[in-house]
Amino acid sequence: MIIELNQNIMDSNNSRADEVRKILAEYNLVMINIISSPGSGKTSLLEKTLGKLGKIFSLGIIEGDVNTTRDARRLESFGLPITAVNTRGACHLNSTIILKALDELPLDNLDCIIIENVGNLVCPSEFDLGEHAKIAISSVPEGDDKPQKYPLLFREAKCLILNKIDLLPYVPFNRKVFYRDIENLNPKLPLIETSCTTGDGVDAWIKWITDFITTNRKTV
Amino acid sequence: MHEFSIAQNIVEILTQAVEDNRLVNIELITVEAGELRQIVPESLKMAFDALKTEKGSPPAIRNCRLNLAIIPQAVSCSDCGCNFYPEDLCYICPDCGSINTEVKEGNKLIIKSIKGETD
Repeated sequence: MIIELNQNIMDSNNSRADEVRKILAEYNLVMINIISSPGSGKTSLLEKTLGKLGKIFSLGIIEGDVNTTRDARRLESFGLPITAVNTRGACHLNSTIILKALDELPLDNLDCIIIENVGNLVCPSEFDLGEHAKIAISSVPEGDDKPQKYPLLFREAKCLILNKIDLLPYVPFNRKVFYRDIENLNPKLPLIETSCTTGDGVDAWIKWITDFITTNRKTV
Repeated sequence: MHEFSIAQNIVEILTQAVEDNRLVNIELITVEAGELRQIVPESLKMAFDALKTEKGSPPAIRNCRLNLAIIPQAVSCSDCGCNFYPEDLCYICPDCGSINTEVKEGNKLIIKSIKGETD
């Protein structure tokens, strides 16, 4: 016999993501999920962001790493609560991991949780973590073709950072092509150019995330 | 390789279906994957074949074949109502140029049906 199931394969992940959303609502928290390829500057951008953003909001970090806790150690000096998640080879975080990580953060005292996902442009964009926004980072040395090659992330992101713009004179990156592809793929996506080396654009990014957190938290 | 996690979810759902419907054998499972979900068919089949024969998996799914259908995207314009396929990944309405468009198809990942036998 044929049984029609019509069941969403991601149901179990999505229902745990709903649990995450409940917790975030209960504690009036905003959660941001940063996704990019390995080496495009997630941790560097956080290093540039946490000092300034930490003066406005009380922040907690969930630091996903495949095999080490190096990135978490890089951020320790900010003195913020950090939960390091080692996925032991898995290429993405899922909502079960986030539920456990939330247990280890002082939710009562936080305004915003920033997740640094595992470096990967494909898998992390498939998994709903219960976040308010996915933030995509693409970097100049990766090339201008990433939006066309990995469209889902660029469709799902609420903000796109083009990082390492200080390298534009040295690598073949066609800015026009990148902007055209993003405009076609997700015309409403805000795009902010940054360099974590020179500090260019970092203030614009901090303004965006400040506005986003303010808009998405209930005013008490 | 998110296909491995997806295959794990499929096996979990099948395990539940075996129990709910008292199935002794599931011969075929039909999965529909939206084009946007970036599933590599060979990877999903390979992961599913490895997991269905694992120790903890129910014997009823050991010989199950996976039929995967990739569902193309369909986008609809919220302003002029036209439906279109996003050629070259362009989601701007080709008729009226609006950016208020919505993906209606090609975004889901579902188990459509299973073919099995009861005792």
